[in-house]
Amino acid sequence: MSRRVGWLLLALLAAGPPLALAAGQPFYVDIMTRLVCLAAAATSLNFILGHGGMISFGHAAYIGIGAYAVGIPAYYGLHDGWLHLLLAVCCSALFALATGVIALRTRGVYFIMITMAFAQMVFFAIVSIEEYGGDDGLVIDIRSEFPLLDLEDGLTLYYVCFALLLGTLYLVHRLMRSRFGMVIEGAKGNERRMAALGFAFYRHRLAAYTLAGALCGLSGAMLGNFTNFISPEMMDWTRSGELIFMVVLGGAGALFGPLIGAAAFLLLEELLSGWTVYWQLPFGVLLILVVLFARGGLAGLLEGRRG
Amino acid sequence: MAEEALLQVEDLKKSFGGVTAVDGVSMTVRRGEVHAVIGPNGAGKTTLISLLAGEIGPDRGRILLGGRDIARQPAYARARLGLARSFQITSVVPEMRVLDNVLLAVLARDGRSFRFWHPARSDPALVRPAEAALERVSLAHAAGERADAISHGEHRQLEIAMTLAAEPELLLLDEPMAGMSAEESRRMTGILEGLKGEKTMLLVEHDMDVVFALADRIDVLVGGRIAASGTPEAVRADEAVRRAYLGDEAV
Repeated sequence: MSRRVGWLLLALLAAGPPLALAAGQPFYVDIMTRLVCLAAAATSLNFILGHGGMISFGHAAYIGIGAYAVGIPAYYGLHDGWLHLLLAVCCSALFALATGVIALRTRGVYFIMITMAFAQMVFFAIVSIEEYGGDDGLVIDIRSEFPLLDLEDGLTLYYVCFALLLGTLYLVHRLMRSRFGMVIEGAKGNERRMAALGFAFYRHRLAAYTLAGALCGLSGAMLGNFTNFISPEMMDWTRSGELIFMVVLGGAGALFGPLIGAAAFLLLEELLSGWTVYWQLPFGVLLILVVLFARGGLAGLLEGRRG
Repeated sequence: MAEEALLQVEDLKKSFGGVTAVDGVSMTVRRGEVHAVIGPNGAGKTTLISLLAGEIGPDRGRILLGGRDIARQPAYARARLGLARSFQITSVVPEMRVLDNVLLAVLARDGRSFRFWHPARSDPALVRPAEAALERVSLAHAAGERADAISHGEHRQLEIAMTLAAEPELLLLDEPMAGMSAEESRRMTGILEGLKGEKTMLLVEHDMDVVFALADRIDVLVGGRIAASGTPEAVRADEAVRRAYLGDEAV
């Protein structure tokens, strides 16, 4: 059932934007662009959080790194899209690798705190560099340039982001069915048994953590292109919290969970913020209810599964 | 029976604070035999198993597996050298299927776990040995169930299947009969009897009927030390063992 809702959402996202434009509602294309970027980021987080049990509270750092991998070269007049993506992937992967080496030696709440601390380090590092706008952020006046693709066109940009979401989903799907994925999943379920079987799963986790970071860096690069304006606020710890929110709300460990979660998140944000300025309050209540009564998130509810 | 020593423990010692749980234990497990360790509660059996499996490190002493000292190796490295353990309290991956749990054991043995693309669950190199191991412990019927959905007795069988699938040199069985009904216990005894002669086993067990039915040799652990050692007949006849452990009812 959650599979069907996931496919339905993908179908809507595939066909939606041209229809929205035809109906004279370009605003919806913007919403959907943001949705697919965040869904891709949340899917990369789900790979380590939902499937791997690594509760990273610093995943937004990779969105920031990806965005600045577009913004900083653009600031110097370098607009080559492949360079941007390469930088986004490499910097994110490097940061994930370097911090993962340390963070993955910790467990439970310590892992949550240390991943958050590393992300805040990047946040404050960017804030302190005034050359790139510091707190005020940086305007990207020209989007990444690709041969044959013009990202200045909203619809083209959208479909590139959509392709990124599809690619991320497919990659996580394949990974979780592979030998590597089984080790990741097994280590989440029972570390002691996995060690007794002979798995040195620290290395598998580090590889997964690095991969998830690199994937999220790509989402960040696309998000930066979309907003045309990037700031440290993109990687604030509350942003990391929102990504976790999407994963948990949608269903941690379910392939389409983060997509459903991201869609529900943006929808609720839209509805509740139109209703009250204190929209985060009912939002929080909702999350508590989901955590208490629907352990598998919305995807779990759709499967008829409860806590 | 081959006389070659597969596992040699020399002067192994482990203290927790002021309590010496294992106090200078030396023992030899020969290749192909079923070697049992018995002892009253608090004798240090669990500590001994944890020391052998590598979950805790010893204060002193050597553990030789096939002549190689593994006493300072971490648990996963020992598993790779051919030591597989089952847990007293069932320890499986609850969210995964029964077959997947055994598949993981095969994968650990195979060693090629950094493969990112091809589906593991349809790989005959993994699935066939896993199914064979389930067959071996009469659990093939539950292969598709989630591991947290099967009965306690079936959990115990799964434990054995996972240790078998790892194709170890030495099976460390930590109270395989723990918490079993008489019926389940009989079935498990049958399974272990079927493995006897083929696999070398170190069996820590409370159930005396099982121990005397299966073991070729027995070490009796009392207060962290080996109090007696020998064939089941010799141990049964040993006066010190009777006093310390077996009590009157076992005579």
